[in-house]
Amino acid sequence: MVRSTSQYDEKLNRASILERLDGNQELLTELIQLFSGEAPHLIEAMRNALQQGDMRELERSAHSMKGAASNFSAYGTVSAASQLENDAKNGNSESAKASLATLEAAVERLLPELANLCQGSPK
Amino acid sequence: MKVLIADDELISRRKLQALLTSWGYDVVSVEDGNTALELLKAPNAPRVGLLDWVMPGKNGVDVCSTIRRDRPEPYTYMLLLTAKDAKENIVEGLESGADDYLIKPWDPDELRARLRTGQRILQLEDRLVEARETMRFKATHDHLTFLLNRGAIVDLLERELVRTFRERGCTIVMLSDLDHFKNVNDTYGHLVGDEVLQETARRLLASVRSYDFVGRYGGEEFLMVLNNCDTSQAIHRAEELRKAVANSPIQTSRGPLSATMSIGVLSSRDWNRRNAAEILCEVDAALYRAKASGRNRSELATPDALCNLPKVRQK
Repeated sequence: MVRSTSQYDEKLNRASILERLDGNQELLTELIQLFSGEAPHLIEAMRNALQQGDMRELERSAHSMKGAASNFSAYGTVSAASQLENDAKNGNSESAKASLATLEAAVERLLPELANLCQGSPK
Repeated sequence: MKVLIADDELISRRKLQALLTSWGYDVVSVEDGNTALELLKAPNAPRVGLLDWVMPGKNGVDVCSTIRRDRPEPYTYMLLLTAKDAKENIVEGLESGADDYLIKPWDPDELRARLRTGQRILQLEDRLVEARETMRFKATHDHLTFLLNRGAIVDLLERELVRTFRERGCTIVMLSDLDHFKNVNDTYGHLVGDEVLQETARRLLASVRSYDFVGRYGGEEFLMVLNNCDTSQAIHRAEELRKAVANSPIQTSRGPLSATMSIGVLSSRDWNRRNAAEILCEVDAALYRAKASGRNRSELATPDALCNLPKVRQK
């Protein structure tokens, strides 16, 4: 099953993300660094869970990824993670495999976008 | 104000913690529902909980319902934060005992305003509890001496008699009466009389153990209930109280005044199962004998001296 990835492209809006952080730019930088460190671990955990058929763990990790990405209004990653969470909940490992690939691609595109937000912060 | 945050997801937890700290809250953050529950039940627990719905261990809804069941007081204000936004979810969350509900992604201004609402409700609750406790104290205490009032000390005596009988223990009951108190009021006025009553109350309280009870039974009568005290000590303990009042004059606004009191003493072990009214009748008769024998003394109520209340007792 091949999914179009265009719907998972990220267009981050720095102003609206900052608004959700009460205008705190230092916090934005800190959260981006946290996310960049955490995302590979979550992906790793999801791969392992899928390999071992541990749908509960897969659902939990996908839910965490969804929550984490929603802090940056990264809707592409959020909807990919949400799809994977549903697949895991329904025990649909075939669909989950495709969803995980989509999510990984979305995160891969998201990370440099987030890094740009950090660099773009006025000193 | 202390606020507990429970969210298993690192970035959201850090965000909440940073924002709440910048708003002046004292934040405790945990990663799962079980730890949240433990901390919310602890003494001096945070009064506000911000709980993610989906968490390992107990989830946010479980935490809410458990706190409502196990910790009614002091009230904990709980706010669920979640991505679940279906109507049934909102209803389930609130039915579980949550006070409020915020759907992710939440807006910081809105969260801040809702936290202030929570604080307002907690302040309201604190004022109500304080008012209730003040009323409870007033309902059970004498307003002049701050000792237990007659209703409270007699209720307590009743409970102690039942307990002591069940546990085959022994309770000492004393009824004391200031001697010639009417003379103090007639000579120096009621204000000085009140000062004598207050000082007597203070000395009686200071002379018993922290787990004994002293109440104002009537005008110048005091009732003492001493637990786990043996018959052999009864008169000795009564004499200690009597001397605490008699041995040094009471300082009043009209100068030092000597006061003495007579005491009727009873040990529950000497009597079969009796209720408070019967016990009070016997100890009152012993007090009458102490008065009749010259006052400023203690008399033990023994079953061979039958309760025989005179119509008017000599003061």
